Amino acid sequence: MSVLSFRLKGPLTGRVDASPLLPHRLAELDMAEIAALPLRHGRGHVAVGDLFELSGRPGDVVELEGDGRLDFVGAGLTAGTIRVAGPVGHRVGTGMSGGTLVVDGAAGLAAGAAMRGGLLFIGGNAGDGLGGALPGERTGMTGGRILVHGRCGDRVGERMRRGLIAVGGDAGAYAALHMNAGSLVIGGTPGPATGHGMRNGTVLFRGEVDPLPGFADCGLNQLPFLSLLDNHLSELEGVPPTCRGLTGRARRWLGDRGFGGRGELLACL
Amino acid sequence: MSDAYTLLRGGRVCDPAGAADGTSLHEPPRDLYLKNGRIAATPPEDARIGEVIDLDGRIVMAGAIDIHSHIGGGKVNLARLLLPEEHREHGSGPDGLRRSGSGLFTPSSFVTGYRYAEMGYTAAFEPAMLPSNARHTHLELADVPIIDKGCYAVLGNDDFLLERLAAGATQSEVNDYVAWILHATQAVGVKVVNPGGISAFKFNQRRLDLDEAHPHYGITPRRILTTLATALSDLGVPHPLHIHCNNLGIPGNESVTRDTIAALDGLPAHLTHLQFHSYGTEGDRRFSSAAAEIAESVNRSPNISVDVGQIVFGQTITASADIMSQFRNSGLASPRKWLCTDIECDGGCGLVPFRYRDKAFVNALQWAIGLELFLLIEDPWRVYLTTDHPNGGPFTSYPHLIRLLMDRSFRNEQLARINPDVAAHSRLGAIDREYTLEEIAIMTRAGPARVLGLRDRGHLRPGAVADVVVYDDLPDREAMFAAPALVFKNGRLVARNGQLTATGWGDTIVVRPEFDAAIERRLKPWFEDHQTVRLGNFRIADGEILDHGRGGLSIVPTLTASDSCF
Repeated sequence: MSVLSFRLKGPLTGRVDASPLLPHRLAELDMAEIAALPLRHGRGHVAVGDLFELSGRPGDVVELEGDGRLDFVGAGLTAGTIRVAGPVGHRVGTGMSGGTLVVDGAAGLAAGAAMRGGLLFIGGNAGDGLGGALPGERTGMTGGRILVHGRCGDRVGERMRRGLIAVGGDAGAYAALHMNAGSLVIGGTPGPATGHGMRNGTVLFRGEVDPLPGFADCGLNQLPFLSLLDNHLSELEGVPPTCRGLTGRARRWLGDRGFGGRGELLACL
Repeated sequence: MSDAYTLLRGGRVCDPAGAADGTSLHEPPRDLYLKNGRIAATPPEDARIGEVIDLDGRIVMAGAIDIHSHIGGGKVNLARLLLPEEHREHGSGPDGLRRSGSGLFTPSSFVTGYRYAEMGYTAAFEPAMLPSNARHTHLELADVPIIDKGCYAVLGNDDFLLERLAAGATQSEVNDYVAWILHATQAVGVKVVNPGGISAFKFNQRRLDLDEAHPHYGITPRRILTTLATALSDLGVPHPLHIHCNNLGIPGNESVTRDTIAALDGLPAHLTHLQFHSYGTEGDRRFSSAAAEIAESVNRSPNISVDVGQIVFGQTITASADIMSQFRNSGLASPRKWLCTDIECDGGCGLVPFRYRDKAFVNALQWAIGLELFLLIEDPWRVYLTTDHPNGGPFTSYPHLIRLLMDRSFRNEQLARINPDVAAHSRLGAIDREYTLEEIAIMTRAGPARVLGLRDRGHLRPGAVADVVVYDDLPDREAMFAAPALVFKNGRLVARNGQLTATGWGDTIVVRPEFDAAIERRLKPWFEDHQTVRLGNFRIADGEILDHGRGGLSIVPTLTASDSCF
């Protein structure tokens, strides 16, 4: 297995669009061509070689040194692996449809937005719009898995249609906003207005919430599927520990009935 | 300004509007002198010649003029908002010369100017400026570089006019109102969209024929049309009423279109995107081409000019003030989202994204109907090249359309590729006509300039604005018109081989007919009672356009009784 590593020459002075650094794209180039590849940098462009020191060989793995100003890392990833040591900026894994994207540190806004497949792992916290929709789009995430060990910001899983998002810590406001389908597991407590406009899908969380008036309280339930889900989650690699150990008992709300919704909020015990 | 001449040496000048002084493509190549942004007469021997550019027999035409292209204003802006994915897919960054921009069929304003200039277009006219949106439209057009631009103010569904007509207003009162609107909104003409129908839609009407009374005001589209056409004629506005007929897109609407031509009874008028108004009801699908009948009607009516609104296959968005037809078409939206709104009881705005598919019978027949109109209307001075951008397709498809018109075998190849039923239902395959270069020059330059009253554009006589386009004479006319060898705007080289080399600002073209200012006494209370903006704030001052420092105002002279458009 050949690994191509990018080490930052110094701190970034502007935001960089790292979307061209995809394994399958770089595998077609030689090292000199990769070093000459232009990246958008602020309002202009900069060559890869001016920002990064390159080592290794192009193949199916790319290793990056992270920076909070490195945007669009792994955007449109279809296959192969990208590993980032440190944080990334906004839109990491936007629209990825396959492959594995592992970020050690925190991620910025809209991580995994409009994701269609593959695995996105974030070791730190994630910003607003995790696994959500791109601005103006009718659907958000439609497949794949997003696993976040820290907490996440507002509007996680906005307009989500399929797939799994598991967040280890708390979630911000408007989790599962206008959710169409799919599963959102929150290891901590979600913020206010969780499930607003939800039409279908499942949000599982720990702790107390005060659901919107559009949600009907269905009381305490023994739900056999929860133990099946728990088995599934424990088989997956990298699922945050707080998202595991579901007992099968949960308090259930159905909604959002203002939107004809049949989605469910499950406060797991 | 320097006193030196620029010499374009030895071009084959194709200048139909200047044909009176003997220039024609077939004559030997001649020299063209530019000075201070204008075409100059041949200078005296001792004059200082600055730059000399050898054209080596390449073809020279005036800058092209797009008479009908939705490039600015509320409607276009909403179209951009409705399709964010288009702007994500088609983006370009700044490169020192250009600003960044995005979009293909709803390009951002800067991109619009760049693309037009690269294609040899030096003027484009926004045909649907609602008076209440006028300020926004001009602000947006101030961000369209290089080309000249102008707007037609949309009237005919505004409650003020309808109410006054219903109350029995005199023609002279309407004339004053129309002239006031032209001044206040800095427009160059007046467009009427589905006369009465947009307003009737708000009273739950779904279609309105020419002699059908408006459900609230009780007046007919015929009355609105003839009153407005007469107003423009009385005021001496060079561009006659720009008409989007009733019942757009409905099979069988050809009768309304022909009735409209008849109703005008010799008054000059421009029928726009005629393709969408030339449908019959024959055949198994109750949808057929009525292009031949419409073309014959246009051929017999020298007072009528038209633009075609040709469709091109692929994704686009339809953007129209005609909310009645947009509501009807909303079920066909692709992707499935649309938008429809009333704007200040002044007009409407409907947006329906649309994908024209060559295998779909209706779309393929629409394509054929447009081409039939081009080829069956005999006088190129009265039929102009448009796609009704972005309704029929983006303006960037003009070079492709020119090739379809100039190259019969190419046209028939395309015809063979589309839905096979169309060839059987259309006479397109049997039409032999091929446009000549002179005819293309007429329909894209000389004709639009004449019908807009632009006396110093659209030709290459001394004194004209030095908007000059030089083409390589390529056998592939699409390649030839897509990337002109040289494009000059105001005497300055702005594009070479289809690539921008410089940028700048064009003029805003307006018309200023005389009128009785007493009309403001009636308008003022109307604005106080019904509008969100007071009359004094509604008027757009010249300074608002000039203060940008981006091009000037160019005033089209009004016609006197002895002048005539045709």
